[in-house]
Amino acid sequence: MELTANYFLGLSAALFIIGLMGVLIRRNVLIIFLCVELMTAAVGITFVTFSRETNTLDGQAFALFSIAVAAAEAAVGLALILAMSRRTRSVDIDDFRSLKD
Amino acid sequence: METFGDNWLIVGLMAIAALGMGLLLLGLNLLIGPSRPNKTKGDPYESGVPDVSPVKARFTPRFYMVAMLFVVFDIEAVFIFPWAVAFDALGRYGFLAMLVFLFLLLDGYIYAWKKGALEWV
Amino acid sequence: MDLLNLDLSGPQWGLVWPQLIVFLLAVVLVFADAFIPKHRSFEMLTGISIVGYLLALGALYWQHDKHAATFQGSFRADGLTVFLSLIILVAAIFSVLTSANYLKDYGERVPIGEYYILLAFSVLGALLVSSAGDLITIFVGIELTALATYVLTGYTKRNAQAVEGALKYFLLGIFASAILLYGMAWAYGLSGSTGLDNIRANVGAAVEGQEWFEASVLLALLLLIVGLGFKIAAVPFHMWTPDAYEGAPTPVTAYMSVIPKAAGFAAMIRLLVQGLGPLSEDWRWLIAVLAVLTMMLGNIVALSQRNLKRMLAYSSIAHTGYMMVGLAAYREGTGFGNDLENIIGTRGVSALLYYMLAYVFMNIGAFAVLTWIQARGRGVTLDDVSGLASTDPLPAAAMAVFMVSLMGIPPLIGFYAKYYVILAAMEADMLWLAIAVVLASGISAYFYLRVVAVMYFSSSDVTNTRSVRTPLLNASIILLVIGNLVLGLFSAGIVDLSEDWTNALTVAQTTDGADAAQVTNP
Repeated sequence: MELTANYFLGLSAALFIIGLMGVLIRRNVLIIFLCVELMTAAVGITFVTFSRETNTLDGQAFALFSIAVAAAEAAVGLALILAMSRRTRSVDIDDFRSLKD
Repeated sequence: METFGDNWLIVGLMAIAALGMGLLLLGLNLLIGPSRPNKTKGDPYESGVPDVSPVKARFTPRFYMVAMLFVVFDIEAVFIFPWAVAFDALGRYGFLAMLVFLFLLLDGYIYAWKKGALEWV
Repeated sequence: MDLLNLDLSGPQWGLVWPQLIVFLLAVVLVFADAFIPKHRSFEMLTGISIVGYLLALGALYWQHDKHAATFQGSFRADGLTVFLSLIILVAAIFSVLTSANYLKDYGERVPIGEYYILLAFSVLGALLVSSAGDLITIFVGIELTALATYVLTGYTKRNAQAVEGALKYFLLGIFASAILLYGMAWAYGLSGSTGLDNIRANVGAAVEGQEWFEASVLLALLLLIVGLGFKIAAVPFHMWTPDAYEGAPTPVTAYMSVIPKAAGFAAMIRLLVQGLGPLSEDWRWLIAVLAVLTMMLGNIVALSQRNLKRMLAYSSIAHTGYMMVGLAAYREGTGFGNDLENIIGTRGVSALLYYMLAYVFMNIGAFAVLTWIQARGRGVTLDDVSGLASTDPLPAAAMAVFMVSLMGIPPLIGFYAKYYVILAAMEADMLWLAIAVVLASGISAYFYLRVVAVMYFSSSDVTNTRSVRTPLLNASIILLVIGNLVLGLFSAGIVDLSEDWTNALTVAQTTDGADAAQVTNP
């Protein structure tokens, strides 16, 4: 069996969709956040795969930037989730409903 | 192809031997060892300290602060590694660019320091 | 960008001054906030911010005729950059003026320095997107803008509503970013480059023949539009908008209704028009349908809102719809490359740019008056502004101007903005889209005029107002009113200036030829 780029693209698409479903289904804010991180990481695989396929380095550089951005998101996100759970004593997104029509 | 198969044979024999040895020792223990269980013996080993504590351990927010700073500053190394690998090729411009980058990190570090984010109170 | 053939002679620093000044402003603010004693920080930091943005505006004038690209083509100083940067910097100055008194009033309870630092980084991110010639720059810029805005939304962290709005904004925002990133990955994979010019050339060439190839191009297109749709708050990706707008402190709402949206539209123009322009026949229908949905739903839901911040949130969704019409009116003929003769709808993008400038004056104005009212201890519902004209005639008059301008009545700036959008839609043979804009404006008249009617014809039952002095906020409101009254009359000149954006399609080839020539085929 030869490992072609399609397997890696398939892997990253699968991970991306697992993360996507997690965001849509789970109610725990931390899990939703982790699922988004999973989506970002999955895109990293796509970038590296395409980088190898097209013999360019742009994709690898982009993957590094996406990692750095994900770290910044993590710092901001954890701070917000912490501030919110202190107010409501909960991490369930259905409990956050002081704002609505 | 011949040697390839042989290698797998060796690995398989190793696995069977390891599994067999484990099962043999457990079986012997069960057969000839005396069995007198009590509460203390059944507990997980915790260095002699009683292992009762609340399930939801609470951490001081200081941990989160340090964790956030760590995540951000740690990940910045991701840009330094490729730079270090290509250091020779990048020349003077690459060196100056990295200095600017490090200066920005230092800027953030000084800010965190002056705002007291690094103090453990 | 081509990393295998890096040009190490260094960038042309002369091209990047406006953006560089805002960057230096952010760095200086970080140092200043760390070292200036607390009791003086308000005056110092406000002053530094305003001077910084004004300097950047000045440098922008100097940049406006450069038309060149540098940093391996990932930074572009073209007509689009200049006009978008103008919009963003004007919005930044009004944001500082609007929020200054609010912050001072909040006193010791909030860190003032952080506000200005986050504002500066957010503005920097938006400027980065508007001058981007590369997917990486667009992504990093969008994220820089968004991350700073999430924190600003939850800036008053003792207020549970602010944090809740920020958290919802954050979760949907990073979700959208992940989708956008995936779209960018596919765009890169199909063209073998992250440079917009190379994407334009390669995608155009690839689409010519193969059917399967087009399917994956469309996947990339769809992911990009969904990701950016969240950022500009287009229906059906608008769910975060009302909550985030209502939860955030009012001056922050003024800011976040303009600059992150401008960054989103900048990314859309760069990606769809400059990068994927050859596919315009594929994406503009999608944009047109989203535009109609967005303006209709935004206006209809706004009808039932009694909280003015929430009402303006839905109104800003509707205005996103009007702006998207400008994008939908962009069309390129068959064929690809940079043949400007092929492009029919360049006026669509000009109309979008002019609309965005008008929107800055109208929307920040409306939120500035709300900030003025809130500073005096009132709330932000319709009942709180009832009879405002009898107690505070000048703010009521200003609010009336902004409402009428948002509605689109001549000779105010909002009318001209809609006029150019409708004109562009008709030029692109999309009469139904023009009719939709007129219908949506008709619906919107009801809730905008209701605010005016309540202010002028209802009796005031609010008595316990505080008296505070808000000089900077007053100055901001006066300038915004003048802008609404006067800028419409100069609209022809401004639209001519925005027409310059078309050189975004040609710039890199003429000046930085070495970079653009290095096209690697997939």
